[in-house]
Amino acid sequence: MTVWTFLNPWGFAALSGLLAVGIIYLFYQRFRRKPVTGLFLWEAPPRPARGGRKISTPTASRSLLLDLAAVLFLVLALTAPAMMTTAPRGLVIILDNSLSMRAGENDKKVRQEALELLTKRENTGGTVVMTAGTMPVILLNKGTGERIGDMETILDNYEPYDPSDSLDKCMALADEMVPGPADIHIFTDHEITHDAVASRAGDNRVFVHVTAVNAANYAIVDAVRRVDRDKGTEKIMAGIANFSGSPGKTGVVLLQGDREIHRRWVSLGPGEASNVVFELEPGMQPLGIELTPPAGSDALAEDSRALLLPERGLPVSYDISLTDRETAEAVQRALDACGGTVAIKKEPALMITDVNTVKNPANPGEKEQKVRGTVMTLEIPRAKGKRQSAFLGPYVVDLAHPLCRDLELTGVYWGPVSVKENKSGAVSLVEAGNVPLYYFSGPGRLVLNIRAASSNILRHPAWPVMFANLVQYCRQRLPGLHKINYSTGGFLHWNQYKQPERNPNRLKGEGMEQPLFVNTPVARVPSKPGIYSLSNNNGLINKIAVNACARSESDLRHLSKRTATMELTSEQKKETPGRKHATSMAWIFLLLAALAMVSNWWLGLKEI
Amino acid sequence: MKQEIDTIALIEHARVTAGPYSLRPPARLLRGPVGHAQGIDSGSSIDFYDYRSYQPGDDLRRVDWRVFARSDQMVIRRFRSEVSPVLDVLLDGSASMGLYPGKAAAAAYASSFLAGACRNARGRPVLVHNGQRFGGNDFEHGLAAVTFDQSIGVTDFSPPPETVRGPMRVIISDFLMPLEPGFWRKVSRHTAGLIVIRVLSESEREPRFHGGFRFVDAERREHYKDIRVNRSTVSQYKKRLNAHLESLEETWRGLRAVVVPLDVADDWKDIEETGKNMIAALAKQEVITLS
Repeated sequence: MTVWTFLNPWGFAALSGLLAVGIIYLFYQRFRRKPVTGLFLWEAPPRPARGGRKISTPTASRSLLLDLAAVLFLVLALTAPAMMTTAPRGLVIILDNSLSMRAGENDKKVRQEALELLTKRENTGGTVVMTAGTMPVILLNKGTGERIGDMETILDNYEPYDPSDSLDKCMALADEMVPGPADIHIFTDHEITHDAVASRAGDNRVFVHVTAVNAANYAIVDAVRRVDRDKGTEKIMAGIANFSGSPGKTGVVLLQGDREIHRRWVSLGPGEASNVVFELEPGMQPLGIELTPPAGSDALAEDSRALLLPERGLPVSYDISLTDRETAEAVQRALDACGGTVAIKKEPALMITDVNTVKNPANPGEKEQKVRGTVMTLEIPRAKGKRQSAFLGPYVVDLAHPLCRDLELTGVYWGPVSVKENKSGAVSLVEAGNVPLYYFSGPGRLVLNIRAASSNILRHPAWPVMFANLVQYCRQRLPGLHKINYSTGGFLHWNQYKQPERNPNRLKGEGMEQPLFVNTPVARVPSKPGIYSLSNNNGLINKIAVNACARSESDLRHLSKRTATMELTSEQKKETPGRKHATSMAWIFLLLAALAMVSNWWLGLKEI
Repeated sequence: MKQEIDTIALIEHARVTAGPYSLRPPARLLRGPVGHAQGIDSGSSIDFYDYRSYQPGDDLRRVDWRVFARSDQMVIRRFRSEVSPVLDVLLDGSASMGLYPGKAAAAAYASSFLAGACRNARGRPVLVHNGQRFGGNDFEHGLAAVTFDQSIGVTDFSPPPETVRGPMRVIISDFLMPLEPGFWRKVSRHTAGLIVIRVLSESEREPRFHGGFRFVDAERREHYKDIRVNRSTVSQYKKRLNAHLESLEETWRGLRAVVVPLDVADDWKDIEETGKNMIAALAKQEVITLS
């Protein structure tokens, strides 16, 4: 329905301008006295010879009429005329996309109900279907041109696996997406209170369809696969929980393909959880974990199995280029103790050197190049000149920095190569007074200001700690994916390669293919459990495993205790008219006013 | 704002300007009493002029007997006549001439100039204004007293009682008034020549005002018309003005009058330029000559 309205009715007060124009014209229409010589040469207008009338009414000249029209149109433009259109009531369907919706095949029931709603309301103005998982995902927005006829296909994409819901975000989004007030239907198994909905409902009517299954459930709430470098074994750790009202015993089966390789039995009280650890020879095969709970006590099958791929143990490559033998040996010992390191000469991730720059032997005339590792460079300057006295402490250590984690320097005497004060503002990790001993001299460039001959730190426990931190710091910055096994609802992170073509740009698996932003080293973990491939244009980079491990969703006992369809908004909302949209029409009157003024000006030109 | 004219200075300036010029008698002989100026016809002065054959009735005293003795031809000796020309300057000193300072200044300038030229020709200028005559040295005094205002009322062009037969007559006016029938016959009667100086200001020739006006007759203030002036009314005014002027010019042609149209500005700053134009027009029509 379209209605004209004036958003600023006070603008009509400007109609008094019409009176002003009339008065101005009265003055203008007054015949000004002018003596002339040849009066007989001027035409004689017909003047009625009537007596007794002192004031003559102004003649409604075209100019006056146009001026009045211009003022009138300007006044109308000032009143902010607008065309109010009332949008029809829309339909929004929000489907809870959390894992618990799969309990007792609740998701299929919800899909069917949503389909019925959509079929019944096919002809409404705006229709939006969205899933409320970790993040809102829009499945259908009729306003964007998607065909409502493909509703069944669209609803097939509803596969609830997420570890949490985002009903609040979805309601806010629905309010923005549908132009008019809408009937919002929320399908969920969580308890929703009237107050929580009413505050976000706005002009909308909210219907909540609660279809919870409060059944007993055994679940794997956590699953980790890790290499134990010390023992040279691989550990599979699984967190098992009993979300039922009675104690029970469940089998935890470790599978390699379809072959059972281990089985444990775990007894758990109601609501109790326990960790099960399997220790194996390291291998590259995917391993599965499956629960065999008592019959009738596993309402949610999806959280009773997990698949784990071998985690990547990225070694940190290093190269030691130190003249001082004592120092080089100490560094080598510390790196060996860290594990996960490998010595290479070409493009090491970590370069440990005592020179800042080096000449290219192939081209001696070339400018000296900085010695650097691909990830980090540790410079231990050569001792030269007079030996300086060593510091005994106290040392100022930046314990918040990952390179200084657990670094304890008590009993250390530290002989520096130079005792220059930190005036350049370098980021210091360890200082004695204002003399930096361990500091960043630039991005990815560390300096260890130490003279081995006058220090005991090389034999102190702090020395391997310092290098363990350094190796871990480098490992975290190695390009590529660091984690292989994920739970739904999280994010994939990887470090970018310097060569853009080596970075992943595609995530594929379980019937989906998702392009990745080349310059953004983060992506959502797919919502459906399974094995996925992370690849670039040159081929596969990594495979990742996604498991539906979500403690809060597996515990079905906390879901709503009722199954009902309720309208949680007030009764008045039923009569709420559609949202009004005001389209400004002031421009029409401005145009007419301009037209009247131009016409008046043109007439004036013609008359003169 | 109406500009005040320094009439005395203007008259003096025109008189000085007229110094090298003298009024030339019209083709028709000025037949006045014995005077000081040479006429253009034969007369009784001592200046020999021409011979012609004797005709019955000629004065035998003018027969050149010496020629008769030598050639038996009866010839008459002709001599230049001596005349004393009179110039009547009929000046319109009404309020219509004073409405624009340019018109009043031009009228005063023309009057003074012609009076000066007349004197240079040993003539006698007479200012006729509002039924009064100012002759001889009173000419300039009379001219200086012309106020071009309401004191005159409607222009009175009645020629003065003729004290001198056959004067030259100059009539200076804007002629923007309906003239009564027989006016021109009365004015041109017994004149040796008629010079018409028609003065019109710029606003009268090309009105540039618009809007609603109550036009009041400059001389008869009780007469008015309410006119809404626009392009159309101005156009009609100009048509009527042209028709009026054409009608006058036709009359003037019939009277063999010398017509000098003076189109002046509304103000009198360009009076010298106006004077030059007037002198050029008078010289072109041989009304004045360089003496």
